[in-house]
Amino acid sequence: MNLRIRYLDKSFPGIELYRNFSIDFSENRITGILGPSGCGKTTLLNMITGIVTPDSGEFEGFAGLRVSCIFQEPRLLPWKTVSENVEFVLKDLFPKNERSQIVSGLLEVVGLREFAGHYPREISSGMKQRVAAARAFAYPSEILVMDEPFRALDLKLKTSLINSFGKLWKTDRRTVIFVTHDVDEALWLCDEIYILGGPPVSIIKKIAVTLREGEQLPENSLRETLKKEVCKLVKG
Amino acid sequence: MKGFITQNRAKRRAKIIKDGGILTKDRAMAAVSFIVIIFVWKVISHAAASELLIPAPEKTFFVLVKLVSSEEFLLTVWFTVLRGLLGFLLSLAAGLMTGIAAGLNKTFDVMIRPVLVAVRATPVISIILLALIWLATDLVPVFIGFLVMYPIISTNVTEGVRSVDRELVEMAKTYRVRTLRIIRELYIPAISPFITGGISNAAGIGWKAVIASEVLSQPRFAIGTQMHNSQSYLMVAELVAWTVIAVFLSYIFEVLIRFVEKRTIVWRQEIS
Repeated sequence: MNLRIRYLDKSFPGIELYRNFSIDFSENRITGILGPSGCGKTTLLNMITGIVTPDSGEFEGFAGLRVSCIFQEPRLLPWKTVSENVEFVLKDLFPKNERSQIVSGLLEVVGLREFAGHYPREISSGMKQRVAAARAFAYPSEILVMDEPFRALDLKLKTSLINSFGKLWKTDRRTVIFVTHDVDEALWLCDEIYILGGPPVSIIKKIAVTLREGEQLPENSLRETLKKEVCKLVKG
Repeated sequence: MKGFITQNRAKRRAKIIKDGGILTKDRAMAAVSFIVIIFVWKVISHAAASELLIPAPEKTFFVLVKLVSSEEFLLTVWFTVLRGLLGFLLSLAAGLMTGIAAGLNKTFDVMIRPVLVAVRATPVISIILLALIWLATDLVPVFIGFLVMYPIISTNVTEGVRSVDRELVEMAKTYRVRTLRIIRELYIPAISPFITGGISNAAGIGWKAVIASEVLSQPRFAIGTQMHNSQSYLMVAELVAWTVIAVFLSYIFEVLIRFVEKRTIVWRQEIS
């Protein structure tokens, strides 16, 4: 079942961010949300995760679903090791044995098994973000929201992390809502992309991306055309 | 990646070796400082040429040994430590409650702040004199210990709560981590360095205040009472010996606090 947000309103002092806004997300697909900085993308994710309460609106299909998150920053507890950080979100859901299995399996996929006993300050920023990805996939969520998780990384790290994410997603497909302002990232990862403008936020265009070819970035003319179109729309 | 971690381990090993070296050097310097103090003390006592003014270090040492081997010594020390501990536990409990409340609620913080400032600014001697009128002699040092330590702990806890990373709390809430676990596994570890810091500051000041109030309130078994008696009978060597005991006990508390502090913030230790 697709997820739908209908008639969403949200205002902050001095700014009406959402007015009668509606959007759909396809089940088990990656939906990208592209838009200029400050257009309200993160607020939308915060309303989906429950961090921010909307003034009004209907969230169809969201009831009872669990949400995991990969934020802009890794958000790891500095006093817990890599494996304890992943385990932190599982303690209320699984017994110890099962937790250990899930954690070691996911750390293996993201290539961090030998760093399981390290504290966050002992690993690099790219590794931290991979721990955050492992934590998001370890948590048995139906929805995964990603708020520009590759933003602070250089191209090499970004490529490595996107590959890690691709591996995780292929083995465990979930409904992903991916907020970014990077057109390349969106074209690389997403099945469909919403281009937002505002405030108040509105959908400028919805684009279906059919270019996904494994984990390699396809450099063909169709993709370039799409990129040009998206860039033009984002810049307004 | 492997190179990264090998490098880290090597750095950590080098740091431990370096720290070990610094520790030995520090201990040697502390021993030298101790010897210098004893030497200066000896010279001054020699110059004063009166045991009523400044007793010689060796004389004080003999009196100290006599005191420690006396029947009432353990009871005296135990009751003073107990009063200090009671005052400390009360201030810790109250400091945690008001500190957390003030850290989470701005209005409560604004309301409690003048109270803390007033308690801090009031001279300890005024509170002791008032407490002597209000309370039984045994309770005066407990009350004073509490009043001196409480504002320090409360303020530190408030700072600790404010320092908790809101984004980590948001993360935990997104993953629907139970509130009790958020408190236990997120808030408490984040605040603990502030609590131990507060305890360390408070214990030093509180210990002195407890003994000062014992001097004035004169409970049956108390280091302060013994100091007062020594002074009354001009047994200066005994007075200095009790002071040495008080300093030594304070040092033991400091070592214990540092031990707990090290254990609670193991994750903070620098590795690079």
